[in-house]
Amino acid sequence: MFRFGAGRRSPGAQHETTVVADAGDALDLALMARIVARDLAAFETLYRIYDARLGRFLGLMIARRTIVEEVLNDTMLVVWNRAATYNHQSKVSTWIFAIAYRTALKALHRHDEPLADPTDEPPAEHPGPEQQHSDGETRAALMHALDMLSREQRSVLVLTYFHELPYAEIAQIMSCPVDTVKTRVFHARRRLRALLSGELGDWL
Amino acid sequence: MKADVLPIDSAEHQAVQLLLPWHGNAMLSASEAARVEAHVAECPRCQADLGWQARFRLASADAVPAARPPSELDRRWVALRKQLVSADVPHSRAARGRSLRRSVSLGWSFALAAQAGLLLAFVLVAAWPALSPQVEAYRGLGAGPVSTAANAIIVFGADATEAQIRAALRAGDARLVGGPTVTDAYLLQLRTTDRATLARLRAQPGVLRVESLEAEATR
Repeated sequence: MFRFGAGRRSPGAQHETTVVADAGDALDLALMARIVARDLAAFETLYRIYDARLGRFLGLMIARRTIVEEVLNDTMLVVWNRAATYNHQSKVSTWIFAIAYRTALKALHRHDEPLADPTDEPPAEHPGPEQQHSDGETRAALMHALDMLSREQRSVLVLTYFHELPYAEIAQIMSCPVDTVKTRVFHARRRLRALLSGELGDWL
Repeated sequence: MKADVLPIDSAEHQAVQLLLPWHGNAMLSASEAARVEAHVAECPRCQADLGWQARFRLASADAVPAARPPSELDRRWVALRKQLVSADVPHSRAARGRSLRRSVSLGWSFALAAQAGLLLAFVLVAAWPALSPQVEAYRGLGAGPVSTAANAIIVFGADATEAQIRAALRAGDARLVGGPTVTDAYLLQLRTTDRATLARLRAQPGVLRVESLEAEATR
């Protein structure tokens, strides 16, 4: 059943954060109802709302930018064409992310694309303790470590830590049991921590 | 010191380890959160893990791909819109023929599905009051019931001042009824969502975007 108010919660800020999640869900639902009626303006609004979020998710999942754009486009085409099949079993955002995830897996398979871009340079030499990591270096080290993970581990980490989604939603997106999500994150976290011990060990 | 090391229930430790990622971003149920907190208070390894997760989240914030400029978004939308329009072009005669044959062969299936759908819809409508959560809306003393249904969204610029926001709401005779959403949009209730009202709002300083949530046909 569609869950109302199933948003981010934190002690002391429960009311505010629940309202935030509700507002987003209500907006998504209103737009979906119009999209089912083939309202292009509503679809444009939804597209603009989700472009950055999907771009961020796919950009961390797929190395090659041209494929990111292709998958994002294909995802939104599916949303437009199959809006009527949205059955309220999950939040609209979960439904869209699940489409993006499946579309990305298909594209990666089709292009035989490894998660890591083989042309990517390895991260720069770890600076001495007197130097602080720049944003670019931190990004390079993290991306390099993420590249070392399996596709499932990488996806589940991105959804957990970068998108801060609850495990139940991640399970819906990845079409797997909740316990599988928890176990994947556990092993991915352990592996990532080992991988980063040489890169950002002093810092992380 | 050895005396400081507390005995840890390994099964409980393992169970809490599986929940830690969501404790860090506060997404556990009350009972799960209580279970994690009780264990973490006594487990140095889980405390260290939580610390690592917090630092990892900070590092992750720097690691996300840079947002693409708005001009790129406009270009991509135009390209996608072209695809949608071309997909709406009527199918070829052959395709229509195939579609017709398929429709006929599937006709009985659809009829049965439609019947089942109607039955389900009836059950849902009948059960809706019981299924819907009863949320008590805040109401000031003496205030009568007010409608808070949003019929538009608005996005303000990051540097919009409070005065600009208030002025924009006044100009559109708008009430702020929700938000911000995860994309920093706010829900508005407008007296009317006609083009003139939307245009007036869009013209206000500090306003980036205004969209009606009502179907085109109703405007």
